[in-house]
Amino acid sequence: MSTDVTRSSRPRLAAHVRLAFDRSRGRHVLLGPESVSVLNRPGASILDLCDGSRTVADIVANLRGRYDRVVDDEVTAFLARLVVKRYVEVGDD
Amino acid sequence: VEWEAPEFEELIT
Repeated sequence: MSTDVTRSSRPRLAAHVRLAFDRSRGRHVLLGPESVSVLNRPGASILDLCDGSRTVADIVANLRGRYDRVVDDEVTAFLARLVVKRYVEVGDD
Repeated sequence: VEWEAPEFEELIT
Protein backbone atom coordinates (compact mmCIF):
# COMPACT_ATOMS: atom_id res chain seq x y z
CA MET A 1 0.00 0.00 0.00
CA SER A 2 1.48 3.33 -1.10
CA THR A 3 1.77 6.40 1.09
CA ASP A 4 2.31 8.82 -1.80
CA VAL A 5 -0.69 10.57 -3.28
CA THR A 6 -0.63 11.39 -6.98
CA ARG A 7 -3.27 12.18 -9.58
CA SER A 8 -3.46 8.49 -10.46
CA SER A 9 -3.88 7.33 -6.86
CA ARG A 10 -7.19 5.73 -5.91
CA PRO A 11 -7.90 6.84 -2.34
CA ARG A 12 -10.38 5.19 -0.01
CA LEU A 13 -11.28 5.58 3.63
CA ALA A 14 -9.46 3.19 5.94
CA ALA A 15 -11.61 0.38 7.28
CA HIS A 16 -11.66 1.80 10.79
CA VAL A 17 -12.97 5.27 9.92
CA ARG A 18 -16.17 6.57 8.44
CA LEU A 19 -17.60 9.84 7.24
CA ALA A 20 -20.64 11.09 9.11
CA PHE A 21 -22.75 14.22 9.26
CA ASP A 22 -23.42 15.81 12.63
CA ARG A 23 -26.92 17.16 12.12
CA SER A 24 -27.00 19.00 15.42
CA ARG A 25 -23.97 21.09 14.47
CA GLY A 26 -24.33 21.00 10.72
CA ARG A 27 -20.86 19.68 10.00
CA HIS A 28 -19.19 16.60 8.61
CA VAL A 29 -16.91 14.57 10.81
CA LEU A 30 -14.51 11.71 10.26
CA LEU A 31 -15.04 9.13 12.97
CA GLY A 32 -12.36 6.72 14.10
CA PRO A 33 -12.36 4.28 17.02
CA GLU A 34 -10.89 6.89 19.36
CA SER A 35 -10.66 10.00 17.24
CA VAL A 36 -12.94 12.56 15.68
CA SER A 37 -11.93 15.06 13.01
CA VAL A 38 -14.12 17.93 11.90
CA LEU A 39 -14.10 18.55 8.15
CA ASN A 40 -14.86 21.67 6.20
CA ARG A 41 -17.15 21.37 3.21
CA PRO A 42 -14.52 20.72 0.52
CA GLY A 43 -12.85 18.18 2.80
CA ALA A 44 -16.10 16.29 3.23
CA SER A 45 -16.80 16.48 -0.51
CA ILE A 46 -13.42 14.93 -1.26
CA LEU A 47 -13.76 12.11 1.25
CA ASP A 48 -17.27 11.35 0.05
CA LEU A 49 -15.73 10.55 -3.34
CA CYS A 50 -12.92 8.37 -1.98
CA ASP A 51 -14.35 4.97 -2.85
CA GLY A 52 -11.18 3.24 -4.01
CA SER A 53 -12.27 3.25 -7.64
CA ARG A 54 -11.96 6.95 -8.48
CA THR A 55 -8.53 8.42 -9.05
CA VAL A 56 -7.55 11.76 -7.55
CA ALA A 57 -7.92 13.21 -11.06
CA ASP A 58 -11.49 11.84 -11.21
CA ILE A 59 -12.26 13.38 -7.83
CA VAL A 60 -10.92 16.78 -8.89
CA ALA A 61 -12.97 16.62 -12.10
CA ASN A 62 -16.09 15.80 -10.09
CA LEU A 63 -15.47 18.68 -7.69
CA ARG A 64 -15.08 21.09 -10.61
CA GLY A 65 -18.75 20.52 -11.34
CA ARG A 66 -19.68 21.70 -7.86
CA TYR A 67 -17.18 24.39 -6.90
CA ASP A 68 -16.28 27.63 -8.60
CA ARG A 69 -12.66 26.46 -8.76
CA VAL A 70 -10.60 23.56 -7.44
CA VAL A 71 -6.89 23.61 -6.65
CA ASP A 72 -5.43 20.20 -7.51
CA ASP A 73 -2.46 20.55 -5.19
CA GLU A 74 -4.72 21.34 -2.24
CA VAL A 75 -6.72 18.16 -2.85
CA THR A 76 -3.55 16.08 -3.11
CA ALA A 77 -2.00 17.66 0.00
CA PHE A 78 -5.21 17.14 1.99
CA LEU A 79 -5.32 13.46 1.08
CA ALA A 80 -1.60 13.05 1.81
CA ARG A 81 -2.11 14.39 5.33
CA LEU A 82 -4.95 11.93 5.87
CA VAL A 83 -2.79 9.08 4.57
CA VAL A 84 -0.12 9.97 7.14
CA LYS A 85 -2.83 9.85 9.82
CA ARG A 86 -3.91 6.45 8.42
CA TYR A 87 -7.45 7.70 7.86
CA VAL A 88 -7.10 7.21 4.10
CA GLU A 89 -5.40 4.48 2.11
CA VAL A 90 -4.31 4.79 -1.50
CA GLY A 91 -3.80 2.32 -4.29
CA ASP A 92 -2.06 3.17 -7.56
CA ASP A 93 -2.57 2.02 -11.12
CA VAL B 1 -19.91 26.75 -4.11
CA GLU B 2 -16.87 28.87 -3.40
CA TRP B 3 -13.75 26.76 -3.08
CA GLU B 4 -11.58 26.83 -0.01
CA ALA B 5 -8.65 24.63 0.90
CA PRO B 6 -9.91 21.32 2.29
CA GLU B 7 -9.17 20.99 5.99
CA PHE B 8 -9.68 18.63 8.88
CA GLU B 9 -9.30 19.42 12.54
CA GLU B 10 -8.85 16.67 15.08
CA LEU B 11 -10.87 17.16 18.22
CA ILE B 12 -14.85 12.51 21.29
CA THR B 13 -16.68 10.23 23.71
